[in-house]
Amino acid sequence: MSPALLQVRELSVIARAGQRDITLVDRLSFDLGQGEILGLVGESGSGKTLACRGLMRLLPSPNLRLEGQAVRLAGNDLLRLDKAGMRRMRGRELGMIFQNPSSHLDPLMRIGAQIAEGIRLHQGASRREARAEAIEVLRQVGIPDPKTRVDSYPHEFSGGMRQRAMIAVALGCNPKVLIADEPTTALDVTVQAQILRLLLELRDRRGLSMILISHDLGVVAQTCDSIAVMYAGRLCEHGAKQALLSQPRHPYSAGLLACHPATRRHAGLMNTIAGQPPLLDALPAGCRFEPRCPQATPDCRAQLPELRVIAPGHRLACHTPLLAGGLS
Amino acid sequence: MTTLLQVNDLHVQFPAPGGGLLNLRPRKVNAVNGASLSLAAGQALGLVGESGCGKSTLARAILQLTPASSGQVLFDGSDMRQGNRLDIERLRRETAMIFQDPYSALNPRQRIGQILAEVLQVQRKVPAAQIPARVAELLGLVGLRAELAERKPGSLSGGQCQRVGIARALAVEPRLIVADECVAALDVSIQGQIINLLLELRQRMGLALLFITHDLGVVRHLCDRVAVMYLGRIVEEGPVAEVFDDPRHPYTAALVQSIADIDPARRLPQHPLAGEPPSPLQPPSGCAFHPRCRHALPECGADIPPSHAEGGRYHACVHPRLPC
Repeated sequence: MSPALLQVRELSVIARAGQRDITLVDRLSFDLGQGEILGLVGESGSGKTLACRGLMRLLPSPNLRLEGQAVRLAGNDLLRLDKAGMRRMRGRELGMIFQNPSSHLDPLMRIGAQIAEGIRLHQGASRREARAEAIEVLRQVGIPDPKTRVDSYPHEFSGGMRQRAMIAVALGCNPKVLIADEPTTALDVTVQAQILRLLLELRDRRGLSMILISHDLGVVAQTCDSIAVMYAGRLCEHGAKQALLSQPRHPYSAGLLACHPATRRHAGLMNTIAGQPPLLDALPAGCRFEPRCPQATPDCRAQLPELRVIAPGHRLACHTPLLAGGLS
Repeated sequence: MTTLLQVNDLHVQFPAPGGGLLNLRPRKVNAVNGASLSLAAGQALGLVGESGCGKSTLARAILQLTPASSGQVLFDGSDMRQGNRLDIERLRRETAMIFQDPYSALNPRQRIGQILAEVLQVQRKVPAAQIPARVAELLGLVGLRAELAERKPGSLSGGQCQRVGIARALAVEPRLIVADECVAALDVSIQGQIINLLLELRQRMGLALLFITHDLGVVRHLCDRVAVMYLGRIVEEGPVAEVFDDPRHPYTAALVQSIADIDPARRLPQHPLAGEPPSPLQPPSGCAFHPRCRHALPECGADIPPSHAEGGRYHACVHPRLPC
């Protein structure tokens, strides 16, 4: 594989709560290759969104701070850039799309103007060039009749079209990496399939790399090349899609797969993971999954497992991994 | 099996904006447009469809929470739309609803115990002295510790709140529970726990369940039958396994194909169903699905396709069974 386009090393997001610090994302490290789609999965509160906001340096509250070794992209270390430098990276190198397009598009601004704004700012294009480019991007994201729709307002678009428009805004500046945070969660299933298909096409056509954040393993399984599973702020397993889905090694990954409603095709009791994720201000000292883990040993309670490479391209943080031969 | 609920050609209309000055030309939206379904005692029926297709409105009209404009809702043989106050009271005693957002469905200022006791008092289910014991029993039934009766919803997790919502529904000892997207807001590992609880309660108490969802995977686990709704109509209904494995209506086929499966061998559909559900303000002529349908014929745009019944399955399509 070619050298990674984006390298994240030991990225932490820490919240200041009164007198103490709470680590919400704990030393996250991963690589993203050119044209790779990485699926970042985990339950709500596992830190997947915060990690990606962190690497864009867009933390939603002043009580949150970033720590880490490096976030390398296009020869820059994003953690060392000044504000102006970071602003240049956002949009031009890193784009982001969100779950709810309605709340991330300006309702009072025409769709075309929202796309053109970024193009003019980052590429110094003229008004006319930016408009032509906006029409082209709208065409690429599958908006019918883009020459007319470029002058529409967001409320004139349906839910799926708004998501396409937000993708167009992000693509306008030609970023190398697109971070998609639950891009289809608010959409109906048939529209979800359209948007996922569009993301795959954009990867093939533009060589775009993507981080796709989702709570739905089904969505990730259908689109991604590699999968990273997060639990309570930590990465617990990261590997190629095929390997991770067919032979998950972390008991939590295996549990998530087993709980998926589409796993078993017949009626009857569903598999579940007993208990609930721990509260981040009262984390167990050892493995964070230990209280819910069917495989746990006393070691697991005592010592936090570190992420280790167990096979080429496969990393795991577990003291008692499942056998490579399949589910135990 | 006896039929507990029978809905015949139900229509629900809402006034729509755009009636002109002084609303001289009032416009109507047909949220439910001639829906029919039936549910036997103890059976679970999944009602699936995309947002805005009228699933929730249909459920509310069945429970007489939203007035229907025409059609029949037969609960245990008597038509609730023509029913008097006593009929409606009986409906309230024998049905219950579970909602999507477990936090907003519970009063944040009441303790869990009060929330459950209120139902028992209003419906006069048990003598006042026995209420605390019954509350503890209900909490036990949904797998919560009795001490939680002293807590308020804010200090519970989403899954726990949903269990309280289920306990509240069970408090009336219903024969029918209507669950509207009751696991959509929960994480997968918790979602499974709630579905298993519903499965177990169904078996133990012989409850009938109308389960509204957009997640077809969940329906496969929980339901005996499934009804697929598109723009206010039921386009297909039948036993879950048969409908999923051999859908008759092209819309059902597209829905089944769009299920996000975790099988890495199953690829995303190469050509997913195009377009989006039309607005009920301007419904297409004839079959509402025909503008998106790959197999549409000229007659599909002309007439509303009649419903065909065959071996316990229903569909409303003039050229069923074609691959999507």
